[in-house]
Amino acid sequence: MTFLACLICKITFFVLKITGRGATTLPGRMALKIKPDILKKLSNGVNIVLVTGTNGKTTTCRILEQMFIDSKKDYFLNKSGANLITGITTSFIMNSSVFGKCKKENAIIECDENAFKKVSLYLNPKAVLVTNVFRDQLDRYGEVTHTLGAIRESISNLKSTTLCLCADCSLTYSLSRDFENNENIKVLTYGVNVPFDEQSGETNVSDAEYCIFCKNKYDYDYHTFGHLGGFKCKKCGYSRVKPDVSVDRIIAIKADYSEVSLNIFDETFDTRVNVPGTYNIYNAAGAALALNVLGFEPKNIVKSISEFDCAFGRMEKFTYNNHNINMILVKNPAGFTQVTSHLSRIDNDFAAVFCLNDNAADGRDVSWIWDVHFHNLLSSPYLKKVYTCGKRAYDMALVLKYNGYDEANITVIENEDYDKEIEYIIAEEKDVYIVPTYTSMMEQRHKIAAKFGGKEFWE
Amino acid sequence: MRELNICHIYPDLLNLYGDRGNILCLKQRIERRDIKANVIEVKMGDKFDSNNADIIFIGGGQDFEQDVLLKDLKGDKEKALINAIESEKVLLAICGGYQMLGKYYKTHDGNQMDFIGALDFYTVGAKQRMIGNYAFKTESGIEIVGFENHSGKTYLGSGVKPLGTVIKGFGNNGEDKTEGAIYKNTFCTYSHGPVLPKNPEFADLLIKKALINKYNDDELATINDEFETKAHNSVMNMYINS
Repeated sequence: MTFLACLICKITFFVLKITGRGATTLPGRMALKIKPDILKKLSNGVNIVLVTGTNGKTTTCRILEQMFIDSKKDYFLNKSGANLITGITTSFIMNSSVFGKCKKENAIIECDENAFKKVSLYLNPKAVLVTNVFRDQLDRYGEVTHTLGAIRESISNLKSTTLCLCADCSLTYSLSRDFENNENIKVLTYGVNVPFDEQSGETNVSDAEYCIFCKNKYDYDYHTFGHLGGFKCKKCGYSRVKPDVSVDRIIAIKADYSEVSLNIFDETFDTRVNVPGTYNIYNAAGAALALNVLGFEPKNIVKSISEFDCAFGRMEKFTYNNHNINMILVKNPAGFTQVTSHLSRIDNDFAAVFCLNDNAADGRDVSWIWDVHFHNLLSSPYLKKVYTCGKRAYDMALVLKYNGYDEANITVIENEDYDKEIEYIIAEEKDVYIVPTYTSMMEQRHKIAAKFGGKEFWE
Repeated sequence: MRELNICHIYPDLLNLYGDRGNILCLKQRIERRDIKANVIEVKMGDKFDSNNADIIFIGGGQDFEQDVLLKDLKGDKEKALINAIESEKVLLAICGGYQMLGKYYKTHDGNQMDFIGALDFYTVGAKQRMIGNYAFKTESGIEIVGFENHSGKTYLGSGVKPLGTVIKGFGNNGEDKTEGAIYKNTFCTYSHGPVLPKNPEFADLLIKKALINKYNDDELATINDEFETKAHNSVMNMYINS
């Protein structure tokens, strides 16, 4: 059965690929139909690190990958976006012989929070990194406590692992209590010991204001962003712990990177986090912890963190006539707010294109964009023009208008016309930031890449 | 200069699904008419003075936070809210905030949570969530589009009227074609979206009612609603009339 499943998966993958389509989930789906527990056999003997959580999965995996590349270890990573059981299965099969023997020693697995429930029945990761729990698309994931429940259930399916939890996220860190008496699950933590600058700390709503255990309001020593920070509940005593890997100081936050002081089990390094956006400081710290669990040396970890490049789509750069065309994926209020905060720091003229779709992968309900903090960006003197595009372009325009942006400066691109979008981008003759939701990114990326350079993501 | 106070009840707890967009919308639509708009936030533990409020807003929240809120609501706030509703203050309540104004919520396994009973309706939990773009029409002919996402089925008593009739979608319970509730100047709906930005006529109706209450004059200047109308129509075309 394994042979048949692998064979069909590989053939499907090959056919999709030569017909020029991305083949990330369908081959796995077919294999799972033939042998539902195929992942168990495929993952046998593979050293696995699994990353889950609402935000930061892809970037974190990319940092982990950099370490494997730098240390010349044999590994594979499932493609961004292919983080359900189907995509994970495709990745394993494509890295295995047709008899189901994995050819790689190590695997970095990005796993969707809800898909983790099934995946955890078959994989036995050495380390599981939970980045954070934020409100995501509510129609798909439900409330944050639901997401947390899915992760909890998944972890309890595992025979043994080391959990790497974000200590600053009161939701994520609450998992430590579920497993404190479980000798097979070891818990380690990472976090940021100091506040980020004022700008990135601003959010409209907190996803966790009240203690998850006793429902008393948390007190905070400091905030980094969203509900992350030095929380403590005065009533029941649930509070942040000092993390095993921590950012002790923010040295500089630049448009293209950050510099921080990173403490890995009491060894301190000043390092560059080579990707913009303060939230990526968390991803770097989380990756450092997971890599340490996998046995990498702190000094090598720091080197890789300072050298890795951006993940596909999360933030991607093209150029046209000496102007930068950047594309940054947004998925939920916390992530989008980090992007607006990043854009508000840019100090040369630019235009922004916000592309909002409401397909299943984007979230059918578009109301989440009203929980994004736009004020700093929209009051930036360098933001010269805004376009909106996608199926819900007018909803996007309304958010900007009611957040105070002059409607005369907003152009709505109707009918998901990405060719028109490209015309506008060229005519801007300045840097342009395209900020799409997931399916909008998938619809336009090949056009943007064809016009402004860059390779297709499944290559 | 005319002046209206928008009172946002529990912005710290009932803040799901971008419902604060309704506050931004009301504020800006009032200000664009050269009327001063003040937003007063009434959080957990704060005192609520309804005399000072011209438009009261209550949004939807997560189930997890609902019991935190009920404890705070019982007592002074409950009295003030009932008083405001009876004295014809303008009030907009969405989803969880809507349900809270009714008599009770009974979960599908029989647990009953008592609410403030300001309006004559009750809600029963269903197993299947009612999710999707939907539209309804009010008695006065305003067409409203929004996004519903609730597991509670609401049934109206004889003391209240539905806010509208469902054009497409579930509405109150997916059975009787009613959507929301209206009682005096209290407007309740399941519509997220948020509801007001894409339905400017409805937003202005609330503002006019508040102006009549305070100044006995509901004159409102016409403003540019191109984006609003097109956002409304695009949802109608994509999801309702298709």
